[in-house]
Amino acid sequence: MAEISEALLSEARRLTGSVQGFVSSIDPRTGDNIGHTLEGEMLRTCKVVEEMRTIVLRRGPGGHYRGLWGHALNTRKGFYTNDALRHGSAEGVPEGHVAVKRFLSVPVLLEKELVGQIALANPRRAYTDQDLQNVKGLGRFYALAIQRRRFEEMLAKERDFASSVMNTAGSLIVVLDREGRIQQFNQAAERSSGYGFEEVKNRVFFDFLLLPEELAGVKGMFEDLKAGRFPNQHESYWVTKSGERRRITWSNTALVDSKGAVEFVVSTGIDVTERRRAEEELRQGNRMLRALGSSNRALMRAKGEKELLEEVCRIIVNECGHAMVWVGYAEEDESKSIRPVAYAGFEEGYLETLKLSWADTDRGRGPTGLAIREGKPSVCRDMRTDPRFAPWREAALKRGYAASVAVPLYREGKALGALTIYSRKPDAFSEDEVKLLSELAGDLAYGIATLRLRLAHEQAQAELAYLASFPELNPNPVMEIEVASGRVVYQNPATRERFPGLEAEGLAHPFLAGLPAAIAALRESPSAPVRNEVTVAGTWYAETVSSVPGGERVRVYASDISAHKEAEAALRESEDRFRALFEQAAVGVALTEVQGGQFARVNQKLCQILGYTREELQGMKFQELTHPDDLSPSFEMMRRLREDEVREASIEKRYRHKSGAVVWAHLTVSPLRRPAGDPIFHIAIIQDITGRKRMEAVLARAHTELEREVEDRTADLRAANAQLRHQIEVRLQREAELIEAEKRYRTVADFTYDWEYWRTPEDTLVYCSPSCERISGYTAAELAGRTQLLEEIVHPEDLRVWQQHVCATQKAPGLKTLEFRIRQKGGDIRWIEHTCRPVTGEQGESLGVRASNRDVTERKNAELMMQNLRQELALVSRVTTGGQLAAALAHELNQPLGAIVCNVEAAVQFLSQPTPDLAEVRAALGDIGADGKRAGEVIQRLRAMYQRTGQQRSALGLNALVEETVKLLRSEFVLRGVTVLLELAPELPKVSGNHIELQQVVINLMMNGVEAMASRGPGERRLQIASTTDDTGLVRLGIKDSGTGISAEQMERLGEPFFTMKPRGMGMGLAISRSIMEAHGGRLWAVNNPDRGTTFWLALPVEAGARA
Amino acid sequence: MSAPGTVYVVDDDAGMRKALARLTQAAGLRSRTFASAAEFLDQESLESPACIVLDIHMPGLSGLDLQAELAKRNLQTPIVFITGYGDVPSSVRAMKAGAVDFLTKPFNNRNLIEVMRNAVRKDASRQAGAAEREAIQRRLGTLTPREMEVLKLVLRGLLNKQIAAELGASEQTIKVHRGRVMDKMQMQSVAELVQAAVKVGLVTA
Repeated sequence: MAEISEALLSEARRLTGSVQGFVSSIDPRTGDNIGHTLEGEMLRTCKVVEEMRTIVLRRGPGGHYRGLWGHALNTRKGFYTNDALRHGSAEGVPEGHVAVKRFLSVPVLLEKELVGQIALANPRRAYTDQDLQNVKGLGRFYALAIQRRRFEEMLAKERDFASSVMNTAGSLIVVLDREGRIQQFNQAAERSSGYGFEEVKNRVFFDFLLLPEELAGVKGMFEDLKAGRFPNQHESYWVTKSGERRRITWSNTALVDSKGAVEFVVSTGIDVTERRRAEEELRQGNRMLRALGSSNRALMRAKGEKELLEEVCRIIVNECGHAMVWVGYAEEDESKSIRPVAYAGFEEGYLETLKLSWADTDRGRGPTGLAIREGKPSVCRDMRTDPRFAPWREAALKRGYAASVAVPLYREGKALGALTIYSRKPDAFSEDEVKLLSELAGDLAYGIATLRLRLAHEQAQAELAYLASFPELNPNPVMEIEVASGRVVYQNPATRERFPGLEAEGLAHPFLAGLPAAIAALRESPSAPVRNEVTVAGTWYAETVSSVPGGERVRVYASDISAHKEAEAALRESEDRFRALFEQAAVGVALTEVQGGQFARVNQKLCQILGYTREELQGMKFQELTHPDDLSPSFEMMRRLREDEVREASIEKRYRHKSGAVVWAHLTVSPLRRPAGDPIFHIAIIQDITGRKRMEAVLARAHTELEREVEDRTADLRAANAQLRHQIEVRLQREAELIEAEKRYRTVADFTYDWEYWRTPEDTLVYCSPSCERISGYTAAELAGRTQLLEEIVHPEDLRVWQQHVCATQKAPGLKTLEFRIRQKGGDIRWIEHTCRPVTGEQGESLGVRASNRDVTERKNAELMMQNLRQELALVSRVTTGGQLAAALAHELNQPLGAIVCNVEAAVQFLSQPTPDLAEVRAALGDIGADGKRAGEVIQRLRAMYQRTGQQRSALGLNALVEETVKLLRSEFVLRGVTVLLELAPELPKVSGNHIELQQVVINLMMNGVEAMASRGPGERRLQIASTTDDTGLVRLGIKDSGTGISAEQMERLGEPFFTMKPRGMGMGLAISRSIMEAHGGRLWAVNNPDRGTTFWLALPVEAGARA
Repeated sequence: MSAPGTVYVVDDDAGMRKALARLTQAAGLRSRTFASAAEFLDQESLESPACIVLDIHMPGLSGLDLQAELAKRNLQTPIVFITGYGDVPSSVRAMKAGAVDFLTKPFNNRNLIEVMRNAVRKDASRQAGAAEREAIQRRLGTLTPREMEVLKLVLRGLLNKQIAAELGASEQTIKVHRGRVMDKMQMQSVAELVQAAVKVGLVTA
């Protein structure tokens, strides 16, 4: 504002010859008149100056402005007086002020609103009506400037407001038009979706951001909104640029136009992906924990292996809600197959189709095979995309499976098999869940091993009992010994085999060492057989001695119990393992008495959960530890169990920790059945879910907050939208006015923007506009003080043209322009566009030069950048062309090379004749030399295509350039069956240009022509090249093909970057050619020929030297 | 060395023509050069034995066009194709149409002299074969229709008795016919007869 005020004031003073003056504006809030600028002595002497260069003329009561200065404001009319002291409004001169003798003042009005003032004083001559008119004119400019300024401020405020609404805290905002095209897409939406606004602008929201399965639902919402049913809310996924799904809660409303029709749909969204994922994981984790508890109980109760496995599968399906679970055993057969042994859930014949293996083959690289082979869990996140899952994909997807996890059943360093779980959702298994599953699988593997041992043991027992009655068949030794003599009177085949020396040795045999004692015992009580365990040569035998009726003989049964011994040891170990399971379970386990509720046995985990020692707990009853509020549900659960209403029951309840803190737990209780009678104990599985409960509370709170936030956001948005709409209307109206205003205003604005000066023939600056400081860094005073400074700041490289220009200007009249660089005071280089005109007085005497300098650095930089870019692109295009020409160039190069090879072979032949024909050899060598040179030339021509061009131009003949290019492309023409006809005008004037660039254009056009004729018959491919000069003095080159021609639509788009008519074209050739032509001041266009094909025309100006 | 042959060089590249002519001469063969296919076709007649060294890519009629034209005129002089740029489709087309060789300039690892000599030799033996075929055809022309029938059945490997049954004649009659066929054909054995029949395409080998 200050700048324009200053410019206006100096113009006003110049026009009226006033010594003093000011230009002020009215503060719209207070009505005070603020002067932005003061001139002359006022600056030093005026006492009302509040700040440097600013005066404030206060508005009095009733809107009255005081004094002579206030007169024009009060009357709203411009006036002048040449006797100011006697003017009616004059209030005298305060002390220290310069006396105002003559005064002229114009109020500045904007649609009746008082917005400012121009005041002038004390010219050397009297003010006239003309002065008043001139100043009024300036006042109108000033009013426009103020108006423009106000609009700019308002627009900026609106923009700020709109963008702050759009980009408020994390909410996504998407605005769609009636067709669903994206009109607005704020930063939060950009962050969540990964798309930038520019990428999605005007694309249809439904085309790419939604999941196909949710499309119909969301479109329905959109139709509702369009039909006027708004606001509404929905939650859906959108698919980000990287393919990820994000869950968004949307709040939608619509913007209606003045007729009430819906014009835009505005959706505010909150990205709840992480929240939902956390919720889902929590839910899944809970289910898994429950499954772990249940399967532990199943293990404790298990009778048979198959039942156990099926029970565990069933538990996982039921508790965790997975689609299917199965257990497979790793077989030690040739193909290392995996045999499904149990499953639960939605299977539909899937397992039969698997043919799994745990070998490292295609069918062994699925999750199950991997889990067994590597002994660790293996997850397939998404069956649709996981390449390892390919063999089973179709069958699995048909059954609705989406992801799977397999955990090995690992026992003593070896995987028995695996437990595999299928989910209907992709990426369904969190790390926690896999961990819990592994734990479950560990327990399960242990259970299987225990059951197998138990079974082996029982089988062995049964077999023994059966065999006892048939001594001859008995695989174990049976013998009879005469009591009196100690002689072995009977032995079965097994005895002979095991104890070969028995008959001879009799009682001396180690096996019978204990027999005398047994006989003695039998004598005491003949009906009770004596049992012993004996070890012979490292083998354990169980020995049973009984009397044979009659009492003269005893019968001895022996059985090898080595295996049995081992089994016993194992069983003992398994019992230890049971204890360990109980003890080390990841959950709290307790045996409580059915009557009374006392803890009979508790594990360490439970002690940790409740904070008591084992001894303390085992004396307590669960009632004492239960939170009072949860007692009655606990009793109710016990009752239902007692009365056999349910086999097991779970609740979530609170316990009191020893410290008094509340512990949330998930409790599952089932009776520990006995073979007969009522259960004495309950097994209670207690999981600490305090953390989860806390999390749930937090989530619930977050939920509420979310809902509220969504509500608020919707309300905010609606309010903001209404306001925005109103402001847009106002703005549109104002913009139209503004354009009109701007046209008028520009004359003044430009006036101050450029750096103007007037330099006399004596080399002094009579005028230098203040803008010089912005442009050159030097103030007007500095420049005026030292005229040579102007020359000193000219860039050394431009100094010569500058000096030439100065000379030329002084000699010849008329407007001259020049672009050159200066070095700013701060050292920066700026480009200046300099326009000047010599000024002559009335008698024709030189008054010097008036010049206007504009800072065009940005434009210049942009131009230079464009130039570089163009050269880069041109190079790329040339290199590409080189690639396309590879076949032709190979052909071209192979001609001389082939000739060389022939000549060499011929020369060798001549030399090997009895009398070598040296003349022929010499001729051959001469030709080899010529062909070598020919090959070199081909390469030379090719190399030019890979060169970076500089800016250097030279005078060149287009005819020569065409001939050379035809030579370069000769093979291309031959290979493509194209006949080339040259019609070159003799004595064509030279043009100024860059040889490589112009050749590139010619190559591009010739290649285009060849390409366009590809579909013509071989005899019909003619490329005519004609050069000529036209009436306007331009040199023209026409390249005419007999191809398919160009359609009107294609003709319009010709030369747009990336528009191509060739199947393999990049679409850059013509765009680059056109830009090269334009950089040469020339032109490129195309016309369809009357008969067939297209002619591309180039026109270039004649080189300056050639014209002269 | 047998009778020197002629090498017709057809190539639009002057340097190449000159070099090939020199090489031909060095190999002891005659050479005649042509700058285009059209120029070559203006010839009155072709000498023999000979071969044509033909550039595949030439302005105007291409080498392949010329090959097709020669085939149409039933001229079977062997053709050696040479090319500055060997694309697969062209070479396949050329070889399918009966070219004896297809060389890519600059003839790495190929003995051009040998290639040309082989082609000429092939032409010579082709001609010898043609003379023989002509003689057999002439002799076949002297057979009566009945003798022709007998000949065809002999060629099928039937015994006299079988031929007699087939034609409804006595074995003795067939023997007589057969003797005449062998006489007229100037053959000593059935094996010879079969070979001759193969040469003129009466039976397929």
